[in-house]
Formats: sequence, structure tokens, C-alpha cells
Amino acid sequence: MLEVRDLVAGYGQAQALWEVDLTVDDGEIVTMLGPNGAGKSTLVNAISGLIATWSGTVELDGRGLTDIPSHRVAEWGIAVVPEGRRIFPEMTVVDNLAVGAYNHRAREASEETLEWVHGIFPRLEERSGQLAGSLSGGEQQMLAIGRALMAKPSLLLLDEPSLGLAPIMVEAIFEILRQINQAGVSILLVEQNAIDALDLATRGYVLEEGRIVIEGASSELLENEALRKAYLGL
Amino acid sequence: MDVDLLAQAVVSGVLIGGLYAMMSIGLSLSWGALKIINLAHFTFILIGAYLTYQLTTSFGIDPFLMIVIVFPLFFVAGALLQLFFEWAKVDEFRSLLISFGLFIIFTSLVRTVWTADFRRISSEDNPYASASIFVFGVALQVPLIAAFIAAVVIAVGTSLALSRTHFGRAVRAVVQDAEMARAFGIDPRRVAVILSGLATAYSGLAGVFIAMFQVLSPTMTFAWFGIVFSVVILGGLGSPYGALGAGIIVGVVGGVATVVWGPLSAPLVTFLLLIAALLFRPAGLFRRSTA
Ligand SMILES: Nc1ncnc2c1ncn2[C@@H]1O[C@H](COP(=O)(O)OP(=O)(O)OP(=O)(O)O)[C@@H](O)[C@H]1O
Ligand SMILES: [Mg+2]
Repeated sequence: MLEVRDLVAGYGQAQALWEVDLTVDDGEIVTMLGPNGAGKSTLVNAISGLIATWSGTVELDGRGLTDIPSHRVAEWGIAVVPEGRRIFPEMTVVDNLAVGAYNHRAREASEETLEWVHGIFPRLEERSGQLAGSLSGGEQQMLAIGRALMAKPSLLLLDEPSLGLAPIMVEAIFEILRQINQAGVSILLVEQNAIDALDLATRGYVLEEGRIVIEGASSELLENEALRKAYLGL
Repeated sequence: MDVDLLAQAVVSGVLIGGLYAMMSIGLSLSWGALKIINLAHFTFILIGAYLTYQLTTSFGIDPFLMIVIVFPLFFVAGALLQLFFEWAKVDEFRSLLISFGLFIIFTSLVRTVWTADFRRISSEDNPYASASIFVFGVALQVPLIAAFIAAVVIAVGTSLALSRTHFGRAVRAVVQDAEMARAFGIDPRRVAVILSGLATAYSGLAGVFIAMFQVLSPTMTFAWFGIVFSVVILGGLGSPYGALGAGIIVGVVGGVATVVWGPLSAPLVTFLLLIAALLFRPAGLFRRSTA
């Protein structure tokens, strides 16, 4: 469903990605590993339209995303849980979720989607009227995921959703990602938590200095010597 | 001290406060939500007033009918202006310089078209100027009452729109994180264009009411600077209710100061209030609502 070809992107004069190729098939969970500064967030942000791409193509179900204005990407079925959550702090929880469902496709179904999201994160329903900025870190992460789900994506991009969370919370988030995936949403997951991520995903990529250096099935990656040394601490 | 005079000052201060609020909401929205300190708003008020003078005088249009003419006209002007600001890549500081330029240009345009002579709608074309309603023995001018009502409608309507509608949520999302808003399908440019249109339309409306009871001159904007900036800052950037509350406070304080210490004291007291507020409540007397 997602096909990224020769993607190049960066900031100002500084290039951060070199001809990245990547695919996510229907219903798949794919993980993206790599050291700090490798370009993982740049990749996620370029796919979701948060930053402009320099060259290359991003296609979702055969439709090119690089030629449309970035505010249309949501309508086409991509939603993002960005690094650092980036919820709207001065808006209530329920308003944050409503912004998630802003695109026309999602807006019509927003009441049902809200029920589904509240089912996944009961905490968000309890905190409906609270300002998002006053939520705990874990709750903010739930809200960031909930907001993305409100957009009714066919592909969900998550950039280090477990960052800064207690182990029990990390486990809960991974379980929820499994649940979301079973509901038919494909997932591209950027993670530092390599073991958990490979456990959840069917395939994985390793990005280093802006280039894909390893790719393969999760089981293969778990066996890979270089990767085990670098990321699994084994 | 004359109690009746004081009562009159308070009541008319409240009413004129409504007008102050209407003059200020446009700038407040522009500054708070678009990060553009748009001095051209002063000339929008001025042009709204002169246009009202001209159309009522030339065609005998009822001044109140000017509301439905000025609103859409100024909405379009504000939308176009925002496109210009985006094209010129204006940030908060540069907006001050560029819009000051616009202020000068529009002011001289007004002077060219209508000269520096004083203008006032004749009483045949504007029966409202001399009409008063007595409330508790206090005479209240009809245009001021109408302006107050319009200001309340604008403040309440804008505030509800910001808090309850898709468009309002889009505005707040763009203010807080435009990139994320865009990722969820909001076009920040469209939001800004509509908001600028609204803000400009509000300023134009303030001009309509001003033309109903004041003598117009191209330099009258200078007397508005202190009042409007006080109201915008006291009210908190981007907050319609804040502007209404602050408008009323500035109106009443000015009115009472005039009665107690004479007319020259009003701007002084208003500015002291502003400085005190900046020291003790820098985000305004009321909580900011858009940001
Ligand atoms: N806003 C920015 N402006 C300029 N350079 C940036 C910006 N954001 C990232 N970079 C640079 O781009 C490169 C890739 O950064 P990126 O954030 O994509 O890495 P990452 O893999 O997500 O790292 P981390 O694991 O620390 O989140 C780095 O060299 C970084 O310094
Ligand atoms: Mg990152």
C-alpha cells in the first residue's frame, strides 16, 4: 500500500535522507530502527507531509502523495503520531480528537470513530474536557495515538511512541498497536526499543546516516549479527 | 461631585466601551491568531466610516443598511490582504513595518478622496445621530446603543465560533502548531485568509457606527491608537470576550476620569491602567482564549 522510492529530504542545505526505498503492505506492521540522528523522524515527517520532500516518490495505494498539498495527505489515509507527541496543549482532549477527524472522509464518521478510540483509551473519555497540556506523558501519548486514529487512516506512522514511558505503559502501547493493526490499519513504527518492535512487526528496516542499510523479516533481523550488536545489546 | 453626572459617565462609558471593543477585536484576532500586528485595521475603521458617509450622503442609504454592504466588502479586502501578507512572507515584527506603510497609504488615499475637511452625514440622511433613548433618566445615543449590541453579538458569536465549530478548532490548532494542523487536513492558509477577512469586516463595521455619530477627519485614527492598543492588550490577544470586557473597562475609566479630572485626563488614566496591567497581568486581564 505504501511505496517510497528514492526519497530524498533534509533541512535547508543539509540533506538527511539518501534515496530511501521502503514499502508497507496492506495490513502489515513494519518497524524502522536506527541510531539517533539516522533520519528516522525525517523519513516519517516526509511521508506524512510534515516536511517537504526534495525528490523521489511516496505512493499510497498507487496514488502519488508528493504532488498534492500536504494538508491533503490526511484525507488520503495517512495519519502520524510524531516524535514528541505534538498534541495541541491549549485545547481540550476532545477538541484534539476532533482536529484528528478534520479531514472530510473522517469527519462524517467521527462519532463512531470517537467511540472506538474511547474504547481503546478509556482514559481519554474520562479526561475529555481537560486541557491536553495538563495530561501526564502517558496520557499525552494516548491522545497523540487517539488523534491519529480519529483521522481514519489506512496507514498509521508512529515515531517512537514508547519514548519516556514506564515499561508497563510501553507494553500497553505495543498491545494497543497490535489491536489497531487487527482492526485493519497498516503501521510503520519507528522505535528505539528494537526487541519489542521486531516482536510486533513482520518486517523491519535499519536506517543509518540517512540510508537503509539492512532490511528483512523480523526473524531475520533478530538473527543478524551486526544488528544484534548495535541495537539489541546482545 | 455630581452623582448624576457620574452615573451618566458610567453608563455611556459602558456603551462607548462596546464601540472600543468592536474597533479592537479585528486587531486582536489578527495579532493573536495570525501573528500580524496589523496597523491597517485603523484605516479599515476609517474607510468604513467614510464609505458610510459617502453612500448615505450620495444615495440616501440608511446608515444601518451599510452593515450588510460593508461586511462582505471588507471581508474580501481582508482576505486579499492576508494573501498579500503571505506572499510577502510577513512575520510579527515585519508586519508592524509593512502595515504601518499600508496605514500611511490608506490614510493619504482617504485624504485624497475626501480631503482633510471635516465630514458628517447630514441629519436628513442620518436621523439616528440626534436620537436618544432615556434609561433611568440617562440619555443614551441610539448609534452607541446599536454599536454596543453589535459588539456583544460579534464578541459572543466569534467566541462561540472559535470554541465550538470545526473552523474555530482549526484556527486554534493552527495557532498552536500549524504543521500538525496541516498533517490532519487543515489548510493553514485558508484558515488565515478567512480569519483575516472576518477581522477586517469587524473593523469596517466599527467605522459604520462611528460615521453615525462622529465628525470624520482623516487624522481621527491617531486618537484611536491608545484606546485600541489598550483594549487589545488588556483583553488578551485573540480573545473576543477579553476585548469586550477591556473595551468596557477603558470606556468607563475614561468616562469617569473625564468627569472627575477633566477630558485631558482620560488618555492618561487609560495608559496608567495599561502599564499596570502589563506589569501585573502581561497576558491580559482575562485568560487568552485562542492561543
Ligand atoms: N529541524 C531540523 N533542522 C535541521 N536539521 C535537522 C532538523 N531535524 C533533524 N535534523 C538533522 O537531520 C538528521 C536526521 O535527524 P532525525 O531527527 O530524522 O533523526 P532520528 O533518526 O529521528 O533521530 P532520533 O532517534 O534521535 O530521533 C540529523 O542529523 C539531525 O541533526
Ligand atoms: Mg527521531
